[in-house]
This record gives sequence, C-alpha cells and structure tokens, in this order.
Amino acid sequence: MYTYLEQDDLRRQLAERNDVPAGRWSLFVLAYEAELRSLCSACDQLSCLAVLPSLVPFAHQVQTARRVINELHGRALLADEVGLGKTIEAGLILKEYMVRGLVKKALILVPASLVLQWTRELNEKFGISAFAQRNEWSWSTYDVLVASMDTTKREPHRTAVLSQQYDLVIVDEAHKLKNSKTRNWQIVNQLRKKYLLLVTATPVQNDMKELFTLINLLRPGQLGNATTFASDHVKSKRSPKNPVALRSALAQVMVRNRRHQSDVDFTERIVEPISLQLSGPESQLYESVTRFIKDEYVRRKEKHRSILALITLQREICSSSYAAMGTLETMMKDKRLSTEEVIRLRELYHQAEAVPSYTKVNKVIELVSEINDKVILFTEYRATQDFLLYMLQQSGIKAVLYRGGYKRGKKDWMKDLFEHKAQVLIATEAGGEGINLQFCNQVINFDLPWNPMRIEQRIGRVHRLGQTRPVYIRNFATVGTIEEHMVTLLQDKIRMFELVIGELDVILGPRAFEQDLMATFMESQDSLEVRARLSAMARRVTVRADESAGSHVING
Amino acid sequence: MITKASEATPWSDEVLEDYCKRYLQAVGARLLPSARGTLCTALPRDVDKELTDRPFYWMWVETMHETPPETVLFLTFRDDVEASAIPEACKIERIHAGSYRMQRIVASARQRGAFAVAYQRAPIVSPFVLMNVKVSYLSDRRLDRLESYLVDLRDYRIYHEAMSVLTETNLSDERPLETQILAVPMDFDQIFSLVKKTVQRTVALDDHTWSRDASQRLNRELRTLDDYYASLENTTRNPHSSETPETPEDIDPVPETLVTSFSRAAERELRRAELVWRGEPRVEVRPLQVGLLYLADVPEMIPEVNLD
Repeated sequence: MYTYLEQDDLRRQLAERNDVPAGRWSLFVLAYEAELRSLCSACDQLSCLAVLPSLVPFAHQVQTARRVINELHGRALLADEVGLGKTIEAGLILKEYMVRGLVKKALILVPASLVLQWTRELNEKFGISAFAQRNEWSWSTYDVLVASMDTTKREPHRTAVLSQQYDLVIVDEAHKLKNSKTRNWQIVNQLRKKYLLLVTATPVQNDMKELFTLINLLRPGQLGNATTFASDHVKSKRSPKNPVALRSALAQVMVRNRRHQSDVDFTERIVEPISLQLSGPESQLYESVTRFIKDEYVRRKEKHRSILALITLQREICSSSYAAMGTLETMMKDKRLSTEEVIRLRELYHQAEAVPSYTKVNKVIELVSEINDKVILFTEYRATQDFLLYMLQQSGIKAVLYRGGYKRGKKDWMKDLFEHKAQVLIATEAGGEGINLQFCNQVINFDLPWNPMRIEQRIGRVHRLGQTRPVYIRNFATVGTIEEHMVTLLQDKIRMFELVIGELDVILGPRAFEQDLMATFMESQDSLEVRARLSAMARRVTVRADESAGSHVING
Repeated sequence: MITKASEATPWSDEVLEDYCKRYLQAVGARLLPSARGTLCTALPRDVDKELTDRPFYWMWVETMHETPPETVLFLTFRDDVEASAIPEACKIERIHAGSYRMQRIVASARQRGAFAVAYQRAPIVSPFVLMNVKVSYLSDRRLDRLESYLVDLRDYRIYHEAMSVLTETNLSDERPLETQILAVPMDFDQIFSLVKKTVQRTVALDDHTWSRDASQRLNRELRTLDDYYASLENTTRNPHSSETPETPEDIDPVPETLVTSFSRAAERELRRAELVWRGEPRVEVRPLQVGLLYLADVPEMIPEVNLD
C-alpha cells in the first residue's frame, strides 16, 4: 500500500563508538521543541505565513496557494487577470512547499528582464535563498535558481539544466509556451519536475489551441489529445463548443481570479482623449502616405502578397514621421519595385524629412510640464522612442528609455532612474512586461497598438495592487486620421480602458483583429463608412462579451 | 511546555525569546543585562561560528593567531524597544520565526541536540536509551509526527510518549557524586532494531486512508496518461498543425532533430516517472535524536508498548 523507508543517518553516526556522545540535555530538549514546531500537520492552512511576518497577502492570493497545494496537487496554471499579484501567489506556493520539506530544488524560468526582480523578491519577500543564473556552474550549485528562458533553452545551458531534476519549476509569462514547436515549450516539456506552475495573465491570446498546449505541459490528456480537443471543445478559433465541460476540465489544472471578484480595491481609471490637429506639412504627409498605402494595399491583395508591412507603415505614420521613415527606407530597397514606385517612396521619404515641427511631441512636452509628476509615455516604435527622448531632452525634461533587448541589469537600472531621477519613462511594448511602476499614476499613450490586450498590459504596469492613486490615461488622437477612429473604437465602443479585458481575451485575437481593422481603413470610401464598420466590429465584440456566462469559459 | 506532538505551540514573540535565552544558556554564551523583551549576549567562538556565516573570517583569524573581540548580539522580540535600551555600537536584530538568525539558532540547537547523556539524581541509576523518531506520511502532501521511545536496557522493554514526561523530570548533565551506576551492556544494533520494529508496528496499525487515496489518485493519473499516449499511437509526432509565426519566440522553431531525439515514448516515461515521484504514497521513518539517560526506574505515566 505504501513504500516504507528507514533513514539510517543517526545509526551511522553512532557506528564507530559504542556509546552516545555527551551532549547537554537542555539542548536535546531545545532540538526536540524546534522539530515539533516544524512538523507538517493535517491542517490545510499555509504554515509559511508564520515565518513571513512582514508579508500580508490578499485573501485571493492565500486561497489560490491553498487550492494549488491541496486540490491541484502542485501542477497548475496560475492565470489571474493582470495586476492581481501572481508573483506573490507563486512565491507563496514555493515557500509553503519548502517549509513543508516537499521542495528543496526549484527552478524559476522568466523573461530576461525579470530575473533580478524575481531573485530579489524571493529573497526579500519570502526569505528564500534564490540566486540568479549566471554561468554554466549555476545549474548545479544553487538549490533555488532564477534563470532567463532565453538563456536556458540554448547550449551549453540546455544540456546542463536537463541533467538536473527539480522538485518545482515555475514559468513566468507562460503564454510564451503557447506553441509546442518552439524551444521554449520543448525545454519545459523535457525538464524532469515534480511540481509545475505556469504563470500568465493571458493563457489564450489568439486561439484556443494555445490553451491546450499549455495544459499539455501540466497534465497531458486532461483535455484529450489535440484532435479530440478540437472536435470536443473548439467551435471556432476563439469560441468554445461546450463551455461548461471545458470549464470543468480546466478547474482541475487552472486557477483564474478576476479583478472584480477579488477583495482588492483598485483605484479609478480616468481616461482622457487628447484631440490634436496636425500641422499643414504633417497633414499632407499623412495624406500622401495613406494614399500610397491604399494603392499598395489593392495591388498586394491582387497579387496575394503580404500586407503586414503596410499595416506597420500605416500605424507608424500615426506615431511619428520618424518611425515611418525607417519603414519607407526599407521598402525602397525591395528589388521587386518598379522605378515609379521607388521614386514615389523617395518623395514620401523626403516629405517626412521636411516636416518642421511635431504637433504630438509639442503636446507631450506641454502635458508633462503641466502634470509635474512622473509620467509613463508609451509608444509602439523604437524610432519614435528615440525621437521622443531627444526632443524631451532638448526641452530640459529628464527622460529614460525602457525597451526589449536590454540586459536584465539595465532594465532594473532604468526603472530605478525613473523612480528617483527622471520625470518621464518612455517605454515600448517590451516595457509592458512584468515591471511594476505603481509609484507612477500618469500614462500617456503616444500611439496605440491595435491589440486591446497589449493596451491592458500597458496600463497594468501602474494600475495594479499597490497603486494608491487614481490612474490617469491620456490617449493621443490626431484628428482626421486612423488614430482618431482607433481611440473612439477602443475608448467609447469597447470601453477598453475602463473595463478590464477579461471577458474579451478569448474572443479577440490580435492578428485577426488587426487585419479586420486594416481592411476597414483601406476599403472604406470615407470617414462615415469607417465609423460604421468600426461600430459594427465593436458591437460584435461586446455582444459576444455580454453573451451568456457560457462564453466566459476561461473566466468561469 | 512540551505537549503532544500534534499540539506544539507556535512561535510567538514570548516563545522565541524564551527559546533563545535557554539556547544561549545551554551553549555557554554570556547573557548581559538587557531590557525586557530583549537579549544581549556575548558569544563564545564556537557558537559565533555557528550563528554567523563567515568561514573565511575565522580561517584568517586562526591562521594569524588573532584574538578578535567577542561578538555581542542584541536581539529584540518586540517592536517597541526604546532607543535608550540599546547598548552602544550594537546592531538591533528583530527576531521573528523566519529570521535568518533564528534559523541558525535552531539549526545549531538541532545539531548539538542530536545526542545527550543525562542523569537523574538518585542513589542508583541504570541506563535507558531515549530515541525520538520522525514519522512522515508522504505523497504530494505530507503529514508528520514525532514518536518518542524509551528503552530500558535492563530488560529491553520499550515505552512510548516518553518525552513529555522526561522534560518534567529533573536531569543533570553531570553524574551526581552520590549516584551509583548500574553497569549494563549496551548493544546498539539491538536497540535500534527494537525501536525500528516498534515503529513499524505502530505505523502498520495506523489509519492509512491517506495512502489508499493517494494510490487511487496516482493510478487515475497514470491511466489518463496512458490513454492519452495510446490515442496518439496512430498520429504523427507533431499533432499540432503548423502555426504562422507571430512573435520572435515563434520564429525560433525547434529543429527537427531536437524534436525527434526526444521521442514520444521517452516523453511518456518521463511523465509517468514524474507522477510516481510526486504521488506515490510512502512512509519515511527518520530517527532524529538518541539520548542515554541514567534513571532510577521507568518514569510513571509512560505507557509500555505492547508488542504482541
């Protein structure tokens, strides 16, 4: 019925001598008392809280940890909505298992930018002696190791890590494991582990298959195999066939807390659209580029060529002429172009170069001075980011950058600078990942991604647990451009900024949504048609969101 | 103070302070006068080494034959210590159950307290062996208890639940001058074997619903796993249809060789091994402490273990 193991350490210690070493009785009693207090009882409460006096977790965090340990047996997808403190939940689970003597060796796989943050939090908040992975020897030297996923999946680390075995593996930003054909997924799949925690706010980004791929790492067969999953559960890419059955199957491997259900008091979001009138030259540039894109769109659709570059260019011209210039330059190098096309592109490029002043940038400078407090400025594009940094500095405003590609130490350093020295943080999408900036409550969206989930990630950096002030969100909308339509769509129609996306994340797929948007902008004859089509899109989205609880499969 | 294993009092501030005070007294640290709720102590070198992690410092000190000043610790068990109560040049350490210092004190106590020899003050005493054993029921969760056995070396009869009574008994570390010791042969193999057998029997008579539940759950999980892999028998290695790459991570596809080198069979075996590792019910018996106690007789109120 059970395996019976006897430990012989003590016997071996007495083996050489035939008597007992003369220790003191008082210490014998003290040792016994300490042992007594460290025993695991039948109680299902978290005993680690007794040794973490300065940590005061929220009720939902404690409940999640207890549920994962007692009911989900240590293999779970932690999928709370953004800002509810999943890191704390994962930390509680790790600490509890360690205190109970069930976990000694643990591996935490995170994006490179978060390695130092995780290491610090585990040490400071949870009293866990965690180390950041640095070289080949780290793998066998430390019991609790925090490593970058990117580093781990490459040699020589890959071989080193696969030769270890881990009591617990935690993977942060686990939505990066949504495709089983990637190295990320392969390495997590091949690790030998007892317990596994996958942490992500967005377990489904584009397609229900992604959920299947994640669950397959935790418990293969829980959702059938790929084929039966598709036939039993998938109605369309983003719609479940039988939400009740799916939810019930997921309940054994997933925990997802919703913001509106938690006892956390989130502060208000105050959203303000900033309407801007482009200057003459800027307007003309916008018109020229958009006309070019429309022509190209038709041509490419006919030839079945990809329109991705066009979508990028259309979005870039809404961001800044500087960003668009980069794409224009790349496009000019395309060998398939005719001479006229190259001339046309060159003209656009020169037109962009010649813009004398920048309405949006001037507005930023004005707002930043007015706000007179820390501000995060979000943009999609590095070119725009560099441009903004230069322009702000020229106006005497201290700003720092935050983007992907920085080594982890640098990101921490930039965050520190923002907190203590600079007034403005200019961040691209990668800046949306993981870092917590609750000391700031002012957000300016210089341009908008066309993916609502990404907007939520941006705002989630400040509107989260620990934020004590209402969060002000200003969205730039240049009149007469696509941006104006986007802001209206997101702000008014879908009320993207007030609601948290929760309901929408199964329904909206970023790729399809983007293509729908592009089609709308390209094919509509006039502004009126654009507005009508966007309204229809928004209605489809919100109707589905309001639909019976059945469609909220991930959310329950 | 010591009650049944299942009723250990938690680490409150008072309990922590009392524990640290007794520890310091037991290891020969000098207790200096200090305010209520605080402890000020000068550490002997061997204790210093155990309570602070600085091996290179000691290596240097000993190689150089230096005589550094005594380390003085100032430990507080309350939040409201007055500034005037703090001795000069002393760092305040607020001690909680999870504090690093407390962890080291406990580790030191455990190590030093693994063995003991103690005497009851009586005209004639004979040897008894006291063994404290940790019994753990494990699957993906865990349940522990401490079993305390006393073996009378005169007749090898065994008694249990000994510790709570013995802590109330007056025992000294040195043999009292007027006490005579009855010499009795000590066969540790026999002693250990007797205790082992007793633990085995006690465990066997226990309620093992936990183990049946764990086994059932494990078997269910293994079946789900086997069914899953059986259903894949007729499909190709990668059942997921190709995705159009979306993010940089996706444009980092696994080369075919890497995929096929980890076969489906290997994957299944790994998953099975993991399930067993996590969920297989097992009982772990770990003797933690052995004490040699010279007592006049078997203390009252310690029940004998019936081995029939």
